[in-house]
Order: sequence, then structure tokens, then C-alpha cells
Amino acid sequence: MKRGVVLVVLAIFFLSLVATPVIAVKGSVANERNEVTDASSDSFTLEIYGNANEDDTIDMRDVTYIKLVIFGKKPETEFCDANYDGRVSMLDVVQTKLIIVGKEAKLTLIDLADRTVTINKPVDRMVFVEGGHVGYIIALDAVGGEKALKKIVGMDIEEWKSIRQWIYSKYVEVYPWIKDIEDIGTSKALNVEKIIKLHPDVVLAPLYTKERIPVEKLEAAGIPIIFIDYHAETIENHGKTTLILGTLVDQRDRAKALVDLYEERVNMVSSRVAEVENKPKVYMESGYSKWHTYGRYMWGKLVKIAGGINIAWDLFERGGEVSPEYVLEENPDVIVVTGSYWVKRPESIWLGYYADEDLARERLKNWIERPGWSDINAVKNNRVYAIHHQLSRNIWDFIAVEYLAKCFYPDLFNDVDPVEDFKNFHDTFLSVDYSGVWMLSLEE
Amino acid sequence: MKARELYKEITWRKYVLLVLFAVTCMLTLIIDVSTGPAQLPISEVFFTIMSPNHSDPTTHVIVWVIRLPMALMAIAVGAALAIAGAEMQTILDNPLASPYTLGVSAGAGFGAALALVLGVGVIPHTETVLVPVNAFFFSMLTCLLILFISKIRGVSTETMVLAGIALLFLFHSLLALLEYLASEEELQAVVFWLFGSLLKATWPKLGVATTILLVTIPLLLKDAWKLTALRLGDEKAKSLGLNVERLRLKVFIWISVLTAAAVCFVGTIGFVGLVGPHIARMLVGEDQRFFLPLSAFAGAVLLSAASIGSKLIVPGAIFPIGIVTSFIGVPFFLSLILKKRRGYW
Repeated sequence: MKRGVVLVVLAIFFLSLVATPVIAVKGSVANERNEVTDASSDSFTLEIYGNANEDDTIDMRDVTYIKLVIFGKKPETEFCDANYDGRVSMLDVVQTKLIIVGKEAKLTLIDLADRTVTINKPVDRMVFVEGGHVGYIIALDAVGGEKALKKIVGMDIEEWKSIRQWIYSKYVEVYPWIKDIEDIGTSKALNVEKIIKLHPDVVLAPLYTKERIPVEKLEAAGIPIIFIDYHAETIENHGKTTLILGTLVDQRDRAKALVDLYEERVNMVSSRVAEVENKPKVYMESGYSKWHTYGRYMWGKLVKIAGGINIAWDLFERGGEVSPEYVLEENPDVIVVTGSYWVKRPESIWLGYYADEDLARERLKNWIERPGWSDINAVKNNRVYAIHHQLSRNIWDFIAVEYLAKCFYPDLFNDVDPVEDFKNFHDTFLSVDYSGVWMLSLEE
Repeated sequence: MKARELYKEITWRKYVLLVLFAVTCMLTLIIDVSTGPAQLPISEVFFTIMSPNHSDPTTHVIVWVIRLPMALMAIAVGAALAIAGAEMQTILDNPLASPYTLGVSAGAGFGAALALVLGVGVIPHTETVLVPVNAFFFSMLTCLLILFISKIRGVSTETMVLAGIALLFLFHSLLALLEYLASEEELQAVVFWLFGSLLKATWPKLGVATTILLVTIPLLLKDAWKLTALRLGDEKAKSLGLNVERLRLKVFIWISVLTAAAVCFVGTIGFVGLVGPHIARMLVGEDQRFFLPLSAFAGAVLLSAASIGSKLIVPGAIFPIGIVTSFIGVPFFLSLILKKRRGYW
């Protein structure tokens, strides 16, 4: 009898052990479903102390607002305390005015990890964690150009060179001194001592590295860290990050122009596709390894913003391997594959600054040759496309949204030219010129 | 005669168990072929199998190109790993011996990672060929290293087991080094390979694995009595006229090839090779005539059931099969341990 009881107890124990991760997997799938981020949700709050009226900029209206708060005519907001000393007083008015003319000595802001950080201005020396690897350096260039880039004293240069060869080469062509920026390693193996020796005024790091880098050690050395994020693919995070970058390098107006452009283009797409009834089913695949697709993250999110139905939306929170059967069963109307200059992947679709269009098209054709795919709607109707992998999770991903929208609804967006917009973006904001191939359709 | 009746009594139960497991194997195979994200009714699945030329083209692809190779691969690899584990435990006189614990799977993992991270391989070729070839090469290398070390120090069970464990740690560290050097995408590819996956099963790969399996089984069964005698202990076996060292070497080489073939296509699936034999041993004992086939069936059923499980957990995605094998196998294994009255080793 006792043995039987032990057996039953053990069985229940193991069933619960097995069930917990399974339920967790299913739970996270269900939870995230409700967190549909509406791309057209407007104005985020610029979380810099001094932005008293909690809009998306710091201007004389904030000064007025603080004065009204002092006179008791308006409710106090968090960011009224511009100098972060715990009280709202004329000193905050002074600080806000200094911020407006770009002459403040100190600045307090809330970063994308919800940390309150105070930095000294002006910022002359910056360390940029993983700026090369995930390409956030592009955003810095867009916001501040050469002057901003010159402030970088440490970055993951070796990683940038090896992972994004073509982008690195383009930048070194224009700014040869980039080669000499000190290499601090990637977030997996950050050279903390080197960072401290470089005496930066601030360290910038993408939000996803937060658990990996020794934040306390850097703070103990008196170096403030600001976490930024483009990975969430929301207007809010894109806006906040870009404006923070603009504030750091004293290019607030240019940053604002960038954010306005981004918001305008993405909202344009969202509003047009909001009305559409029959949205196309889309299979979005990473061109790095077959069958790897995205759920509600990165490219999966961009597909949704552009008005497509990502067939893997409910399967994963971020990304994973999809069953080939599932793709055949879903019979997507459009297939998009990402590409980049992945040297170690000779079968992948090489897109980028030095891409060859015919070779890329050839690779795309071979990439989609799989059993049963000739019967998929997307393949039958030639609605197969390739897009550059690094166009996502950065300030220029509105180009990706435009292109995807055009693939899904060619008629609805026949006035939109993503390639032209991308060229203009390079001319207006970036230090390098547009070249090569970044977006491609299988059909000529 | 009393002895004859006694013998029949002992063995008929074992035959029944063999048949039972064989039937279960068929069942899991059928269920495996019938499950999948495309909710195909069983009748349609059978129709597509029986008359392949008259079926709907998409269904044909799903059944013939995707499901059948995967389901049959599960059976073949499960059987192969379990047989390898069974013989390893027999010749090494160690209940913890298995392709996994002796470092063979770790060697395969290292070979695969070498291809995925550095693009380095034993022959220059594309990744799809390179990974299995590397994995095969390095699993064989591991086995040969074990053999080599044993030859120097005498082919005893202790030497082989210790050598195997040493290589396990070596390859795990080398693998960790490669993972450290890898980029995010490469790391993901390596991790997914290590999870084990039947997804890449194709008819040619299935052919290779099955051929090796079908060649190895008769070779082993031929020596069934010798292997059973080995379980009496080295001295007793020698006194019965067995060349213990030669037998050990011979069998080890065969199961090296078998393991390498199984692991290189499918990745590291750790539980089957260890526990499949234990389940068989608990049910039919050490007599190799029953122990060997039942291990094969147990392994096949385990992996086949895991394949079904991995399709059902998140419908549409493929849940790594290496994770599911433990979930299914451990409770069953524990229940067997608790039920057994006499010792199981």
C-alpha cells in the first residue's frame, strides 16, 4: 500500500513538473496576444527632466508650465523638477531654459530601462556597447552625423567588422578614423576595465544587454549608463531613444525631425491598412536559417504594422523554428525572406551596400525551392520578396514597413517608393551614400 | 519434462512482451504519421500512403516528404540509440554507459558546432551536408579514441568507461568554447542542433541510418549467447572459452558506427540510449536474445512517442524532441524502479 502511495505522489509530482513549463509556454503565447501594440498610438512622453508639460519636446511651453506650477495654477508633474533636486522652484525654470539653449551642465532623464540617470553635459566621450553588432550606431549617425560619431571612444569594432562587413566598410570609407576606435568587446565579454580607462562621460547600451553587463561596476566608477532600445519596434521606444540620443549630442532639433519623419511614415501606413478587410497571410523567414520565423517580435511585429497577418504570430513570443507542414497548411499569400552579407552562409541572400541584384535574386530563387512550395499561393503568384535583415530594429525601419506594405498591398501603396525614400534618408540624415540592393522581389 | 516446461514458462512471457512492444511501436508510428499541424484525417493519410499517385499534391508532400521520413527516422534512431546503449552497458558492465555518457554524442555536437560556427569541416561542402558529416566523423573519432586508450591500458571495462567520460568533458568544453566564440545567430543554430530534431530527416538519410541498423542487428544477434555470457563477469566468461577482449572491441566498433549514424542526422538525444535498455532489462532480464530486440523496441517507442509529443505541445511549431524524451521517459522509468522487487542491475 505504501509503495502505491509513493508511486501516486511521484506521478503527480512529475506531471506537475512537466506541466509547468508547458503551461508557461502556452501562457506566454496567450498573454502577449493581448498586447497588440497599435503603431498609430501617438505621442509618447519625452522622459527628460525639464519636460514639464509631458509632451515630446522641451521648449518655452515647459518654462511657462513650471512657472504656472510654482504659482499653483497647474498640477505638478514629475518632470517639472528639471534639476532633480526634489522641489519645483525657479531653479528649475533656469535649468529648463539652459536645456533649451543647449547649455545645461547637468541633465536628468529616464532611460528605456526605466532608470533615472543624471549625466554631465556636454558629452564629449561616449562608449557604445554593441553599437556595431545591432547597428544602433546608424541611429547615432542619423541624429548627430560626424560630430556625434567622433564622440565614440569605445565600441564593439571587431564585431561590427565581422558581422556587418559591408556597412562597416562604407563607414570606414567616409570616416577612416573609425578603424581606430577602441574595441571593448560585445556584451557577452565586455572589457569593463578598458571602458573605465577610457573615461567616458556616458555609456550607451541596448536594453537587451542589461542583464549581461556589470552595471554596478560602471556606476561605482562614476560612469552613468543609459539603456536605449529599438528592438521593441514601437513608436514610443523609437521616439524616446532617438530623442535621448539627440539630447546627448546636442542635436535635439535634428532628432525631433527624425522622429517626426518616422512617426509620419509609419502612421501613414497604419492608417491606410487599418481599413482593409482582406489582409494577406504572410510567412516571414530569417534568411540565416531555414524555417526560422518570427512571432510577435522584430520582423513579426513589422509584418503586423504593415498590415499583414503573420502566420507565426501565435506560435512564438519572439522567434523559433516552424513546422514545414504548418507553412504548407497555412498557404501564405506572401513570403518574405531576410538577407544580409552573411559570409559563412554561402546560400543566403546577400543584400546590402555592395550587393549584386542578379546574384541575390538567384539565391532567393534557390532558397524557396522546397517540397510542396510550388503549390503555395505566394509562390504561384510570384509574391516572394527579400529584404535586408538590418533594416529592422533601428530608426530606419520605417523603410521596411513601407516596403512590406507595398508588397502586401501594391495598389494601395503605388504612390510610395521605399527605395527612393531610403535614398533620401541617406542624403538627409546619414554620412554614407545609398548603394547596392536592400529590397528585392523575385519577379523582375 | 519439468525443465522444458519451466523454460517455456520463463520464455513465453518474454516473447509476449516482445510482441507487445512491437505492436506499440506500430501504434506510435501510425499516430505519429497521423499527427501534425495540417489536421489531416487518418483515412486521407492512409489513402495517400496506399495510392501515392492519386492523392492531393499538398497532402502528398506533407505525408511523403515531411511526416513519413520523420516518423520512420524516430523509429530507426530510437532503436539504434537503444541498441548502442544496451551493448555499451553489456560490454562495459556499467549501468550508466550510453552513447551520451561516453562522450560520443558530445563529440558529434562538437563536430556539428564546428561546421555551424567556423564553417570548418572534414570535406568542403555546403552546410546541409557538412553538419552530419562532421558529426559522424567526430563521433567515430571519439569511439576510436576510447578504443585506442583502451588498447594501451588493456581493454578493461574500467578503462573504457573512464576514457569515455574524459572525452565527454573534453568535447563539452570544446563545444562551450565554440559557443562562446559564436555570434548570436550561430549560437542559436548550435543550440537548436543540440536539442535534437527529426525535422531534417529525408529519405536518403533514413536509408543510411536504416541500412546501418539492419546490418548491425544480425551481427549482434549472432553473438547473442557470447554477450549474455559476458554478463557473468570477465573470469567466468573466459573460463567458458570466450575471447573477452576481442568481443568487447568488435562490439564496440559496431555500436560506434551505429551511434554515429543515429546522432549525426538527428542531434543529441540523451535519454533513449540510457533508459531504453534499462526498461528492457527490467522486463526481460539479461538474455540477449530478448534483451537486444526489446531494447530496440523500447527505444523506438520512446522516441516515436516523443515525436508525437513534440508536435502537440505547441501546434505549428516544432518543440525540440530532446526535451520531450526525458519528460516521457523519466516517469515511466521511475515507476519501473519503484515496482521492481529484486535488483535491476
